[in-house]
Amino acid sequence: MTHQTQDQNQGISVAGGIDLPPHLVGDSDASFDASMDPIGRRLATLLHMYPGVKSNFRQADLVNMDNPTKQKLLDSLCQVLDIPQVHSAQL
Amino acid sequence: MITQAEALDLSNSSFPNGPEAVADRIGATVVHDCLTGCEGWCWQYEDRVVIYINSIATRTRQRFTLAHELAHVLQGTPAGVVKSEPFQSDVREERAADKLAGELLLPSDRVISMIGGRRPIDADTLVRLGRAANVSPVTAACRVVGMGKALKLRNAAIAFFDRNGRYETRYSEGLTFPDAFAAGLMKQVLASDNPGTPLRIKRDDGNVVFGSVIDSWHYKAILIQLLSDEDADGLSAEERLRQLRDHLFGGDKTFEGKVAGILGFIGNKHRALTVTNALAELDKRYIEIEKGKLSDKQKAAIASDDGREFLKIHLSKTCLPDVDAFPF
Repeated sequence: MTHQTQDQNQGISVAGGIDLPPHLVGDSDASFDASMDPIGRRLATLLHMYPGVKSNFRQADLVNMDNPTKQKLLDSLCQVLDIPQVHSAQL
Repeated sequence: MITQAEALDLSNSSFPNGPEAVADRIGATVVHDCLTGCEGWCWQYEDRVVIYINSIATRTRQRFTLAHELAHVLQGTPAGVVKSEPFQSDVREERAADKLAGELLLPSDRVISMIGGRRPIDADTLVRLGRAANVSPVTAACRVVGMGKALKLRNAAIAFFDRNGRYETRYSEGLTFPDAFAAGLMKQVLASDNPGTPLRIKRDDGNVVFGSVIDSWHYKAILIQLLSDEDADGLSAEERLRQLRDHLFGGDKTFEGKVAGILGFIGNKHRALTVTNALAELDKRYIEIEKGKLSDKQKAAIASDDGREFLKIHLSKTCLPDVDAFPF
């Protein structure tokens, strides 16, 4: 089966692959609030995709953080999930 | 992953670097980085653990954050972003993590050894405890409260205040009192000529309330102990140390400096020895080397009972406690 979707932020079409696991299909989680901070939204997405992550993270935790700190929080979550960081090839 | 008991054993044998040794053993990735709006965080997924610590915080705060996050991992409770001050959260799991963090930083044997069965326990002793363990005096105070029974205190608590002396919260494992009591106690201490001097208040029920103030950078705190008459009149370890220092050295700074040098050297070199064995090593090697430089009177002072007690109290800061006995 081929899946086609579109990343809302980047506008990039993605095609291919495998069937999605059941917990990723269905009603969207309440935590995917469109008004969320973009990094907060990514954190919520990753935590929803990986329910095995032990964390009591809350969106309110981001309130006093500056953007570099939020980015480090996101990067460190990717690190523990073993998701390689993709860096832009453009300077 | 290791058990809590294994982690506590490892902390004891790696003192004062217990949390760092535990992080190393479980293969946690620990990153110290400049953070805003939090003290750190921990993510755990399968057997991977990533801990971030705010490198702007004081060294003792950074160590507490590391120990707290490791405590969550060891207890199997979800960690998150650390924002609250140590021992001040009202969430059960956070308080449990704070308690275990304190034990990793200051293993029970070490606390018993350094306090040496002396009561009351004053702020100066907490500062000495904190320096030896590389933790804040407040963390040391919270350990004392948690170890009340083992330290033979009738009861204990710590009350926290803001920098202006306004009561905020408390940490205790059973001692209850009205907020106004803590505020009144702090007011009395601050109103005294020397706020560093502990306060003793005799109660009708025969107990004595002993209060000693810890002045930290972020807040003030008061360690409250409930003691018997006899204990309240006793000397704290620090008061006894001062008494012994005056008696032994009598203001002779050169002699005191020589002994401090020997103690510093042996304390750092022989951390893995018990206090008694370290003292034997000190007698065998270092006093022997220094003998030519010491007068007969100085040699006799070191060999006296007071001299031995002074050396043991000092060695208890760095060496392992003697098994099943207070070292002094």
